Amino acid sequence: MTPDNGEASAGAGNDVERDTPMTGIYIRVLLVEAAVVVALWYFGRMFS
Amino acid sequence: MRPFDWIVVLVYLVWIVYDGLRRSKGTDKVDGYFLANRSLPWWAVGLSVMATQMSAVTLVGTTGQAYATGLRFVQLYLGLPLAMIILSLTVVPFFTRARVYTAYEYLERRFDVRTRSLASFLFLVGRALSLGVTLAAPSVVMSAILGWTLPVTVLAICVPMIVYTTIGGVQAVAWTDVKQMFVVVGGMCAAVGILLYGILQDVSFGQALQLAGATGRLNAIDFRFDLRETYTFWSGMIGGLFLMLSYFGCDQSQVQRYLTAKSIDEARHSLMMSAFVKIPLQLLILGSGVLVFVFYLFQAPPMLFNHTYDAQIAASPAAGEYAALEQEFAGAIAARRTAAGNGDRPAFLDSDARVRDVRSRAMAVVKRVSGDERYNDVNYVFPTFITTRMPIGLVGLMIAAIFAAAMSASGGELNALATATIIDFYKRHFVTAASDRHYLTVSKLATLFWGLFACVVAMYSANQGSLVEVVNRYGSFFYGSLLGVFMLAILTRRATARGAFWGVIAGMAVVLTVAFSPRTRDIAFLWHNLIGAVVVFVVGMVISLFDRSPAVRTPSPSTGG
Repeated sequence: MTPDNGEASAGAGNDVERDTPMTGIYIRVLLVEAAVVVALWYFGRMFS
Repeated sequence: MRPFDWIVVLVYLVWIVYDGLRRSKGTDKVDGYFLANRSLPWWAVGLSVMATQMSAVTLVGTTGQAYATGLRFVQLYLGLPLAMIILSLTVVPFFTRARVYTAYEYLERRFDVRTRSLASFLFLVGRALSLGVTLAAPSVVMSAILGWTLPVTVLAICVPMIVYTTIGGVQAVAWTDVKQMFVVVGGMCAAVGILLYGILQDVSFGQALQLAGATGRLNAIDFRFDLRETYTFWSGMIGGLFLMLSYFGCDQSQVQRYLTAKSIDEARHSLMMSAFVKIPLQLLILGSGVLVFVFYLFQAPPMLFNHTYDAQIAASPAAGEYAALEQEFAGAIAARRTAAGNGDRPAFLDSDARVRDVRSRAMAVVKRVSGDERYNDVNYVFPTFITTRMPIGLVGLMIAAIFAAAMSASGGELNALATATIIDFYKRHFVTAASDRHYLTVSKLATLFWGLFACVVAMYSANQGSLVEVVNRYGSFFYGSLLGVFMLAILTRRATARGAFWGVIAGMAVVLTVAFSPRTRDIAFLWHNLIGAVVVFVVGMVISLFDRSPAVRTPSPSTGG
C-alpha cells in the first residue's frame, strides 16, 4: 500500500511484531506537557 | 450563505464521497473492510485517531464554551498524554499481537464469552447513543443557519458519511479522516486569522489578552481540588486520565484505528502524535472561542445567539419585556465597548457583568415563553460568527469544516459499531461458520443499520444543553467499567471470569447511583470514570479471591494471548 492510493497490500503485516523501545519519546511527551501546563498557568496569572 | 459558499460546501461533499469510494479497493474481505489489512502508516492512523475524537461537537460546542467560560475546558485533556504512554506500553502491543478485530475479543480469551459480550454490548449502547449526539451538533448548527428542518439537516450530513463508510469500510474512513483533519485545522486557522484581523482594528493584541484575562477567560489551569468542579487540573489529570485510558484503550472506535497500523511501532507512533498534538489543537479551538468573545466586545453581538424562539416571543405577551431587555442590552454593550477601548478595567468588568445579567434575564424569558427549560445558546456562538462575520468563500470552508468534523468522527464510530456487532455477536453467537463474502455483506448491512439508527438518535438529541458535556456524560456511565474489566484482564492473573462479569455489573450500578443520587450527583462526571474503574477492579478481585474456577485462561501478556 502507498499513502497516495490507500490500498491495502496483501503482504502487509510482515513486520507487525516490530516493537522498539520509545522511552525517549515518552519522556519528551511528559516534558512537553509539563511545560504546557506551567505556561498556561503562568499565562492565566499574567493576564488575570 | 451566498451561492459561492454553497458551491464550496457542495464540491467538498462530492469530493469526500468520491474519495471515500475510491478507497474501497482492497476491502473485498472482512480483514480489509474492518482492519485495512493492518497496513496503514502511523501518520494516517494518528490523524484518523484525532479526527475520530474531534467531532463537530468539538468545533461548535467547545468554541461556545470558551466564549462563555474561557480556556478551562482544556483541562479535560491533561490526562491524555500520560494515557497515550500507558496505552503504548500495555494494550497496543497486547491487541496487536493478539490479532483481534475488537478489543472485546480478548476478554473472551482471558475470561469468558459472557464478559466479552457484556463489554461489547456496553460499547454498542453507549457508542450508538453518543454517535447520535455527535451527529446532532452540526445538524443543530445547519438548521439554525439555513432554516432547514432538523431531519433534512441530519440526512444531509449523514447520507454522504454512511455511503462512503458502508462501501469503503475502514480504509475509506481513515483516508477521508486524514483529509478532513486538514480541512478542519485549515478552517480553524482561517477563523483565527479573521478574528485577529477584526480585533486588531480596535485594540492591540496585548490589550485583547488583557480584556480576555480580566474576565478570567485565560485561566486555563485551576489547581483547586473540588469534586463538584467539572474542569480542574486534578479532574483532568486523574478523572481525565481514566477517561482517556477507557476511550483509547477500551472503546472499539479508537482501538480499531490503531489496529489498522502496520506494526506495533506504527500504532505507538500514531498515539504519540495525539499525545503531542491534541492539547495544542484543543487550545487552537478554545482560543478561537475566546477571540470571538474579544471580537464581540467591539462589534455588537446579538443578545442571544439562538434565535429558535424569536417568532414565538414576538407573538407572546412577553414581547414588550423582551424588547426592553434588548434596549438595556444595547446600553450595556455600548458601555462595555467604551470601557474596553479606554482600558478602564473596573468599568469594563462592571459593564460585562451587566451584559451577562441582561443575557441571563433574556434567557429566562425565552425559557418561560417557550417552555424549553434546556434552552441554551452556547452552541450557536461560533456558527453565528461564521455566517455573519466571515468573508465569502471562507463561510463555505467553515461549514465544510463542520461537515468534515461530523463525518470524520462519525465514520470511525460507525465502522466500529459494525465491527463489534458482526465480530462479537453475529459471527460469535449466530452464524459461526459462513464464507468471508457472507460476513462482508452483513458487515455492510450492519454499517448501514447503525448509520440509520444514529440518524434517528440525532434527531431526538439535538437540544440537550451543551452538547460536548452530553457526549462525555453518555461515555462516563460505562467507560470506567470497561476500563476496570480490562485492568482485571491485563494487570492481574488472579481475576476470574465470574469476578470480571460481576465486577462490571457492580461498576455500572455504582456509577449510575453516583450520577443520579441526590447526595452524590454534584460530583463532576469526569470522576465517574475513576469510580467505575476502581469499583470493577475491587469487586472483581474480591469475587475472584472466593472463586474456585481457573483464574488465567491465556498465555502471558507478552505473547498477547
